[in-house]
Amino acid sequence: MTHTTSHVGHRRWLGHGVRGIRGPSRETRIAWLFLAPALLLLVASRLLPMVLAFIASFTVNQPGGKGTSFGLGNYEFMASYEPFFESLGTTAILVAIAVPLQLGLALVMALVLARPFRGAGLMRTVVILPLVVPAAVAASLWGIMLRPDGPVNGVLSALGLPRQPFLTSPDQALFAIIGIASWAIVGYWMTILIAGLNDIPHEVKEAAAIDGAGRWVQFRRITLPLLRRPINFILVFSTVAAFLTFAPSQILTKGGPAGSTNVVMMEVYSQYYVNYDIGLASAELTLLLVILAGLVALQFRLLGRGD
Amino acid sequence: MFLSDASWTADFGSHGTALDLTDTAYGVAAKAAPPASTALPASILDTATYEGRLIAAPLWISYQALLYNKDLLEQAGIPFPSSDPTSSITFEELFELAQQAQAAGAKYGLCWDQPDQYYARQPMIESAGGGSGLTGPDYLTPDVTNEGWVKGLTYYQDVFAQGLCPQGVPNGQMDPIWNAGDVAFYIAQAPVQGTVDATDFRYGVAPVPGFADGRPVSPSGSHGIAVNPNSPNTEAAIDFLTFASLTPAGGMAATELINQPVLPAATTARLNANIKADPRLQGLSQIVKYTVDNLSVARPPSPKYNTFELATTKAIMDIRNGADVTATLADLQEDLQQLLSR
Repeated sequence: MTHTTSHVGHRRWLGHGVRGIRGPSRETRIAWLFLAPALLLLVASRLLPMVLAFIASFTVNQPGGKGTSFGLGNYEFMASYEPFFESLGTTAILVAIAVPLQLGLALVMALVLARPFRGAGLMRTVVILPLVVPAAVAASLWGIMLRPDGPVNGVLSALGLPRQPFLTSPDQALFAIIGIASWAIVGYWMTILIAGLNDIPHEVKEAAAIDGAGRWVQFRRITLPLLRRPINFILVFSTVAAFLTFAPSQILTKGGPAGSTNVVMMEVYSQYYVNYDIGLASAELTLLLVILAGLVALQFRLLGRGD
Repeated sequence: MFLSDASWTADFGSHGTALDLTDTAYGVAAKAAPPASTALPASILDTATYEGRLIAAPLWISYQALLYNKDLLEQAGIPFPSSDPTSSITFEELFELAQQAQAAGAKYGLCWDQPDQYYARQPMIESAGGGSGLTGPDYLTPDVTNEGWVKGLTYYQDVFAQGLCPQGVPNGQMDPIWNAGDVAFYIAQAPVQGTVDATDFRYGVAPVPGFADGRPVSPSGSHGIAVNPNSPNTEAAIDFLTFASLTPAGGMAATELINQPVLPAATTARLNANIKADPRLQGLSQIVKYTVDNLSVARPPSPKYNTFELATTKAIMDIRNGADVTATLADLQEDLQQLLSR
């Protein structure tokens, strides 16, 4: 497809026909008018900050508050700044655990709760409830629950199990954060999967059952392939959400113990809002955006195959 | 005008973010010789001064005192610590007494109300001879691996490792434990802000402790008001600062919000009102005056103070929860060297 035909195609899509030199048709103008608020918001709240961060990432403060210069200084510092790469590593572990965990849990719950049974509605509500709790409130609640002298340890003790340090141990804190973040979001993923399950035509399953397909075969050959779209959506969005995990770390552990929950957003936040090192924070953010864009593109490519 | 915490003094001062108040009517009145009714103690003015320039009008003061639960001490046969402001108990004695109180039934022996915050731990480290942790002409050189830092924070870690205080309880969640009557000794920040009013047990107040071979040290510095140098109404702003920071009426009004007023006369009036309302605070007035005048140390006046404080607070959190003291401080030193070089 050449550039010219693509351009014409674009015009045709917006305006139902090429009007030549007379300018855009009425429909085209109306279409742009309707799109304008969303596009403006997108530019102002997403693209503009990205561009500003990208520019700021090349702005280097001079020692002693003597103005700024333009260059690669922030990137050079970042390349030798270990805590940043450690935070990327921590985030990678978090993503690698949180994404399959959340998808798996959401799928199991969707399969159970999509069936009509007594109390199914109530159960679904309970699972979705964490969604309406603000992240900061949820983190504070879990902070008290998981305290070494808190209720969860009280229950463990009562059951004769050893008390756990949870958020105060470098070996457990990240898992606690993953648990808290997953608790908050898994109900949302489940809702999407239930909608997907309800979209699967009954006839298909009935036909398969008549042909002698068992439950497992039906799940593997019918349910899973037909859930492909909602699963793709969840994979992409849970990856991004996990990558950008921030509230539980900031509120509960400040990135500790021993940096074990210092996820990349904590690192960027600290540089920007605590150290006021806007250049370094912007350089870190730029690299983060590149990584995320690459990851999402890769996911789309892998998951789009055969669609 | 804007609120300027003591932690921002050097940052605002070095960047010209705040109007230099030194030679204004406010600055002159605040620095007047002590008999003047507007004079502020030098230790308080220091917390708002950067390189000789006064950059904020202090509004409140900060200090530490030792609270003790009389019921729990009596139960353990421990005599009450003296409320004489010049005779602080030592940290070493306090550790033993806390263990004794716990053995006799107290749930916890010794806790702090702000367990992680650097500025609330700075006094203990200074008392151990460790200094503030920042040295050099601009306070941009970290010095957090010296003997005093290791000694102060090893003591701190031991308190938690021995179970004298629970690990993992963040800032803001200690007061309910003290208020429940579960703690024998409690080192608290300006302990008359209503946090201890909720208690219905008997308690007393004593001056802040220090190490046996050091001196007792208290933190200082709280919020003040700074003026935007580009404001068209700096004169009106300075009138307001003078009212809020240097008159008893302004001081009393400020205490309706938080903490203790910065003007000694207003502080005394507020404390007396508190003590009248709660006789358990008997002796606090003298303790506050002596502590502010003689025991307080300012935060290091570094333009990078907030960077230093965040990193150090995280290290203190780790140490409290059991991380190796020497290794954690060595890591902190390395991180700070890199961060403060920016």
